[in-house]
Amino acid sequence: MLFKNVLKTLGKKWLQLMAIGIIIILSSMIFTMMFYGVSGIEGPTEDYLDDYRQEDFSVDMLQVISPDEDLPSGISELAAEGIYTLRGIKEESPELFDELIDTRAAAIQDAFPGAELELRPTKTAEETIDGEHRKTLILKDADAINQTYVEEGRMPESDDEIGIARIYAEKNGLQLGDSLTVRGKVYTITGFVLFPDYTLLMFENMLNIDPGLQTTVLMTDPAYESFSAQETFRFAGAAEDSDSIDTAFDRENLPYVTQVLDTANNMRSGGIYLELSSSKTTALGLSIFIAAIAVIIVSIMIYNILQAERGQIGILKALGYSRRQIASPYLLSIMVMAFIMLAAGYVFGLFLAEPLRDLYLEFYLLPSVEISQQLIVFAIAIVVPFAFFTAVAGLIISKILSDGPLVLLHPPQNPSVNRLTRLVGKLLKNANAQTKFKYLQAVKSTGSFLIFFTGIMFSTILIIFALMMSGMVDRLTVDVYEQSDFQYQAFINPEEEPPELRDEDDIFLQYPYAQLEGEAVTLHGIETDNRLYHLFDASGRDLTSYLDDGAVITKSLSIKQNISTGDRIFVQLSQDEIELAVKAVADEYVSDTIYVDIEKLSLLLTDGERADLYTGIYAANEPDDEAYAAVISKQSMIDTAQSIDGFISLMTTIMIAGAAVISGSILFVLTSFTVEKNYYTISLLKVMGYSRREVNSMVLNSYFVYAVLSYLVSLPVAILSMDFMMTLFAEEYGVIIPLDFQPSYVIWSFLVIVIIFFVSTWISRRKITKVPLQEVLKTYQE
Amino acid sequence: MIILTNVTKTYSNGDVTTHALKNINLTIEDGEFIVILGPSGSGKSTLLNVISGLDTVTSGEIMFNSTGLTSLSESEMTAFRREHLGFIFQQYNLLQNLNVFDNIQIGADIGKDPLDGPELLKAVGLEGAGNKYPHQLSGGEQQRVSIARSLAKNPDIIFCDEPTGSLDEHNSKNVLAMLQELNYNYHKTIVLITHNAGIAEMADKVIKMNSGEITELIMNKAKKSAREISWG
Repeated sequence: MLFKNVLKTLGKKWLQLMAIGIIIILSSMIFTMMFYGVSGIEGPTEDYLDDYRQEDFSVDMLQVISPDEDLPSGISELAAEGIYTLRGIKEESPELFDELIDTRAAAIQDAFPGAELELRPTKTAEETIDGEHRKTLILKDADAINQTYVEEGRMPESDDEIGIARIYAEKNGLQLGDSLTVRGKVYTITGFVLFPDYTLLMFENMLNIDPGLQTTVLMTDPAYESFSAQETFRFAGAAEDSDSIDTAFDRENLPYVTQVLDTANNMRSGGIYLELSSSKTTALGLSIFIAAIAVIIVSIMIYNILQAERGQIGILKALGYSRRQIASPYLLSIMVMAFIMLAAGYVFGLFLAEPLRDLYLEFYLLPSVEISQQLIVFAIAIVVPFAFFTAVAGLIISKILSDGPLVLLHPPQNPSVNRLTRLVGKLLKNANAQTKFKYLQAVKSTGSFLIFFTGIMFSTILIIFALMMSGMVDRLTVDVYEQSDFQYQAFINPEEEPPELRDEDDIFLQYPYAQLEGEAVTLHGIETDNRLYHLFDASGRDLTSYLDDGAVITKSLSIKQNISTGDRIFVQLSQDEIELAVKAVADEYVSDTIYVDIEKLSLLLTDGERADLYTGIYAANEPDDEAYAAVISKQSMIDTAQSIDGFISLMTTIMIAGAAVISGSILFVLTSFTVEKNYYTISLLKVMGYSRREVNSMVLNSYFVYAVLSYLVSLPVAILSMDFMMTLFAEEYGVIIPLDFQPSYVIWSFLVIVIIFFVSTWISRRKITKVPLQEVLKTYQE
Repeated sequence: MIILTNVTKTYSNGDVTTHALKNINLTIEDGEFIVILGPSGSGKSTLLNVISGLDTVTSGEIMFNSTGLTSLSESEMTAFRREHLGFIFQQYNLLQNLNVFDNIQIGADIGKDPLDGPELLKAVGLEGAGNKYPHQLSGGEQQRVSIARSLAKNPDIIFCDEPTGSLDEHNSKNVLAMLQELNYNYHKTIVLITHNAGIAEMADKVIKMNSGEITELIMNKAKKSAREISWG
């Protein structure tokens, strides 16, 4: 009978229960989804990286000889002939190259005693196939460090066989045994392979990764060596007895080393560690935050229900019902509801974990296994919050039931006011009574107010973050390309005579081996009066003419090295150090590039002997594909970048929708509680002659003002957090995440909050309208 | 002046129809102190509700001066209450978040010609208590705040629903004395419902009710002051 009565009471609050249910489901779902999604990768990843000896650190080095390093005899002669790049030396004399590498390795090993080193050469091929810009990173099988993992199939054994990433094959409908053409040569796919040092396939620190357009490729040693493409060399290192080493080194002893990167701080190989740990922390943090909101809201609801039923409970106690008998139906109902919601969240989470895992595996090149349920996840997602709900609900119920029948039948009429009320009261000292009532109304319950305030803050931050993410890909790449007038970029083959230039083409000179503050940078020479490739700042101002007086650097370089307009920088070339004045910062995030006048760069690179060097052209019309080493269409680059836009848009939508659901549920539950708790007050105000609009305003509009206040507090918090994140990624990983805050986002995010507010309080407004005037004549309770 | 003509009020609950008011005819003159007496279920609260516009009539007419209250829309009725009516309840219904002064002021805020807050505080004997919150006051003091609040917007009529129901004799007489002062000094019409027959001794007109009907209408020729009435 009692149980039936409680169910009836709860049934009247089905909308509130539903909103609370959503919050409970979300808390359990997020945790389960993220934990299983991530755990689905974590276990096999750790085993794989361990078994296949992922590098503990990586030594990046100059791709040219340094004037300050000990050079094997014979190298200087090659340098005198103009052959000073590692690639050039390797092509000219493999023996001398090996000697040079051995010398460097020995010096590095001296600096890092006990470390094991292995040269890790890679080649990069870019090409446009059927209008799509494809990138390929070609590797050969390593001996000891970063060994190849064959997921399926076998290693390539002949020169016309290759292994590729499974995700690339899936995205392109390729299977084992199928053919794949790379740079005009047809290869047979013999296996799906992974490399422990490329858990994230990054080209030039760029994060816009389309797994369907870029892949790692494993070739046999001879096939690799005969493949003509840009080659880069670095050392992979294994520490002797621990997973990490001290990456500091003496630049005088190792003048050719640009950086020594611990794997944990290397986005390419170790980004997955950050991803796994941060995902778990986020999952737990977010779930605890949402669950805490749910627990507090449920507590408020139970308190309200019991307060409303004090009389009934008092009568039951007077009739001789025990506390346990009265409490059981309430507690049991809450327990059943909480368990069902938590279990539903767990099931949804489990269901969504697989797509989440697959989403990870779209970007991270890692082995995958089936998700298996774990007792610990079940416990954290269901048992722990369930125990909390039960304990808190039990405490509140037992506290109210501890009162005697008479006290329950005659509740105290005048609850004292909380500190927040006194504080706001003081702030509103000179306001009129209506205004005071309005703003004191929402702070009457400290707990409810804090939930409301943090809920809005959380939503605002999520919405701002989502908006700042939008257009990220455009800012990374598309904007730069779209501002330029060239349609094609072609690179000349350094081993061949350059093709004849057409009148409409503009030349450029790229030197990717420069160093700035120990970091590799690219010097890029263009003509200041060129027609096809201009530089622009964030406001669209043309900066190209600034090259007459100095250099223009990219935004990416500016952020990473904290360089601003007006600074002087010292750039290390192969032999010399040059000083450049930074005249402007171009709004480019693609690479760490210093733009200079092409003639000046040519003279610098040739010790003043030649002013007409160039390495490629910008063209409006398609150049002869045969005449150049590579011809890349601008449109294909834009398409490649934009292919990830769908994913970003999906993320943005999910974040805004998530923010709306959480804050909407909180707002709905709290405002409807407010109306219920203020039934008598609302009736009183109506009786006194306050109009419906005035009552609405007095009871609910203060929430709006506080929502705006919370929103305003959240804005700087959101922007600073994003700023912190951008700096962290730039400094720790050298990766630029161009989140951008536009003033218009203030309006957009505010509109979203306003819409959420008015939609979620609509029912409460209707409830206010329905409060009868006679209510005030009943026993008054506040 | 309020005139009720053939006012009836019935409530239906399924097949059961309750006649809360049966053919009530009544005139309330400006400045009168009226006490409506009757046992529980007699219809006195319903009568107060319909006169004050808190509830609608099933049939009949209520006129306030030249205004027909029964034909007013909800918003017109709200405006009418706002301008002309004040209320005092058994439960003082003070707003717990507001201090005494603001509780009074919230009444004054909607008045066309409100009375001065500090003066009202003084009138109800609560000078110096303006910054106190309701929980810091005794029941009698809270009812005095409630009286001051009802008076603050300067209404023509004040409806009192068992205003002494929660108070002891001493505090009750203080409150009643105050209502009498409002009636004398501020020329307010007072309509008071009560179980307590003693209070009828201070009224100009006593309306006795039973089973939804006015059973007796007494014009009190020798009304007493609040201090003189018998209690119990």
